[in-house]
Amino acid sequence: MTVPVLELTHLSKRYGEVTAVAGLSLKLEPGEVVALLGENGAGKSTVVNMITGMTRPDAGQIHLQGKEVHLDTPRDALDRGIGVVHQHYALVGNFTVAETLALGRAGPGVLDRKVLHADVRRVAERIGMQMDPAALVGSLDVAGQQRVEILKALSRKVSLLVLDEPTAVLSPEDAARLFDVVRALRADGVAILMVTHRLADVFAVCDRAAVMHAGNLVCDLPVASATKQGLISAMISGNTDIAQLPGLPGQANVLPDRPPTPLSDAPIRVSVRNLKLLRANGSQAVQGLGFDIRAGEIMALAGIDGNGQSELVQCLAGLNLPDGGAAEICGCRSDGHWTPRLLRNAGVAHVPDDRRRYGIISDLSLSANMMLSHFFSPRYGRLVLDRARARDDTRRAIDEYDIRTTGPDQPIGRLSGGNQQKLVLARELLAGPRVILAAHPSRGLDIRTIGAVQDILRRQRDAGAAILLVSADLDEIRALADRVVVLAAGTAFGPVAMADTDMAQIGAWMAGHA
Amino acid sequence: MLVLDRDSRVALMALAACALLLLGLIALAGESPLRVLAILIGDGFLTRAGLADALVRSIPLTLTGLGVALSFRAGVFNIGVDGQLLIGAALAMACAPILGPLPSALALPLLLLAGTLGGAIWGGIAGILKARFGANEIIATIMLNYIAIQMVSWLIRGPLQEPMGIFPRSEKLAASLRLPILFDGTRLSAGLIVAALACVAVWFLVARSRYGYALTVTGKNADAARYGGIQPAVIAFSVLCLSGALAGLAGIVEVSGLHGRLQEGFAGGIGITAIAVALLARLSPLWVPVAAFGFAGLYVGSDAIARLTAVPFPLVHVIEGTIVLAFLVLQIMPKAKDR
Repeated sequence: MTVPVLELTHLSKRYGEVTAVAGLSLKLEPGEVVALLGENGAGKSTVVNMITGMTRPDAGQIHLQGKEVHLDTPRDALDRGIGVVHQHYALVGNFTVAETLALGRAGPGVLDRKVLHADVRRVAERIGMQMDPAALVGSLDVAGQQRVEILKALSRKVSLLVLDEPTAVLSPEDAARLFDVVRALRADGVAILMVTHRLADVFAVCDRAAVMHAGNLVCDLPVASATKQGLISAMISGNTDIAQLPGLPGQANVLPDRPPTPLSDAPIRVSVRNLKLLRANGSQAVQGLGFDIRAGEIMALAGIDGNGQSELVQCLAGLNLPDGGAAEICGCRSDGHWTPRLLRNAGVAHVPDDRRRYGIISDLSLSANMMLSHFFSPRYGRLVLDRARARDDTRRAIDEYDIRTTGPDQPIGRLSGGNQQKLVLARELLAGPRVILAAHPSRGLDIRTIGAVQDILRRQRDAGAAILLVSADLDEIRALADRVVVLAAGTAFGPVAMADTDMAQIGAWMAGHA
Repeated sequence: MLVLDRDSRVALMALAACALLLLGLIALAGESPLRVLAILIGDGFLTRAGLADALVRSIPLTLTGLGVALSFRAGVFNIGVDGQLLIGAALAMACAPILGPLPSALALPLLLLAGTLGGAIWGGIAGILKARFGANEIIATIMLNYIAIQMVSWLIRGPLQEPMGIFPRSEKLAASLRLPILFDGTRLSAGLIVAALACVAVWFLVARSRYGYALTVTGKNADAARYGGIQPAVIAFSVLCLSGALAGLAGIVEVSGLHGRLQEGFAGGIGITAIAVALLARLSPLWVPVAAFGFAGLYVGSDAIARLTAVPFPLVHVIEGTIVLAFLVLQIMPKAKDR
């Protein structure tokens, strides 16, 4: 019998009155890939934090290679061979890949770049990864940066690698490449704990699936004997009995409430003509893009991340000016005044893709965050802030969106990512917007909430909002969109009505084939 | 049980660390820490003269501390309080001859307004440099300090010099332009009331107004502020004007309430102390007067210590430095533990 790489016994952690993890026991053998599944707030992140030394458990033991350990700091975990790739990368943009790997490990004195580069290549080749050691980290796309994080973790000797939501930001091809890396590591005898929402990941690469619900481990079984329905049921209700599966609102087979034919006489709310946008580093993100969005229509902006979606949404939200061409939203023109304030007053709501950077202020309360988007509307007063009204609105949002929190005065940074996202959505939809720019509105949310979000967007559309839905998820696009435009490699395909196309065509466009 | 939030714990720990270091330093100077402490507290806070003097000193510290707290809240580091204070006082003094003949009830508020305006202009220059050209406000405000010092130095040897033309100082303010003394036998002027009103006004601005919200949001996450439609450049400019205005007000209150005339170095070092005051008050306007009074008492007490013991006056500067340093350290430390 082999000694398990990691063994957790009766691990518990409480935050105030909330039990995040309640007596969890889990074992990982060498060369085993275990998926840790669960809804938002089920306690997955807390488990990861305890394994990686970010958080100390209140009770229970952690055994590594059969020996009990106390992981007081992230350093302790690293020293004991636990590598982590967090959901949010911690990288220095103007370092090269090799310098990034040397960070924190190189001794004083001169860096020998030749040796470093050879090291990077050796580690990368071991797991069949392509990586230029001299590339600047900032010039890599999200998938590339993730590969750097993986290399960073592997450049030490690791026996356990924790991947936190690794596929959340990856395109299907990049995810497949990631799975190849995971398989190579498994063959090397590394145990892998993969925290994920996506069932597709589980069946693609994992050996075992452990499901958490409300801080408890509700099932732990080989993937070969698991079913999609069984896992979903366990995630949602904590029940492994398929018979008790509740109705799932978030399934892709829910059809739109009405035929997806935009009313051709509805007023045009968003108009983009021959738009050109540059990235922050000066490279071209979008060129020759043109489309209209009418009231009561959902336009999907499909494409693999990093093909100009962020730049387009930021431009339409007034944060950037176009580098060529023109945009017009609700009578505001990009060649005139074009500011977030003006556009918000015209009725534009913006669900940002980078929530932590743009969407929330972590230190401030939920109700203070509620006011952020309505700062220039008279909703919360003109000179003196109407904090009571903000608190009421927040309380209503907490009920309506089922936000897990102690109340409107809790700092939003204490909430899990999904609950933060729910508040952002509640805030943006609060004032009945005429245009909604929704960048990955359901990213990082659990299945139930995704269904709720999609329902909300549909209802907003039926109420007459013009919606731009940025998504890399074909299921979501199929479930929601009336028309679709695809961004790939600096060019735009479409727009085309969903009725006139199919997923194969959209997939080909996303891959850059006309 | 009294539960303190993290910021309050940090403030208390900073004070405790400071006190410990202080006792050590006094022992090094060869005095009994207990005796020195008794003099410090006794002369600084417990005698009538000491208390009045501490209040006198706390007036400019409160006004400038409020200004620093405002700008720091917005993430804008106004280190130019000294310069703004000087220019405020100088502009008000330049207006004094015009205001002199007016009745006091009208002239005095106008004089204070002129001082406020002068400080706002000097802060606004740094604000324009930052908002328009992206200049670092720390460098800009420090450099403007030197310009202000030299300008005042020239003014009191030239256009504003007293008619006798002997000393480098301005003429004494007319009685109608002096802030009245509140209690006979002390130097405590109505500037205390001005400072109290300023506290309430700044508290309202920070805690209740939309502008205060914009300040806080910009200070905590400038990208999110932009996303919400707030322009960080506008906030930086306006908060430097406001911060400068409070410093300018402090300047003319010092002149009108205490010295009666403009002279060199009449308010040296207030800018740095104001930063310590604002930090100790955790940038909260209602705690600023408390912190200011504490520092003022330390200054008065340190005067007495320097007179009566072997411990020299610069000790109080050590205290200031320790407080600022302890704050910076303690702001970082709990973040590592808080998990």
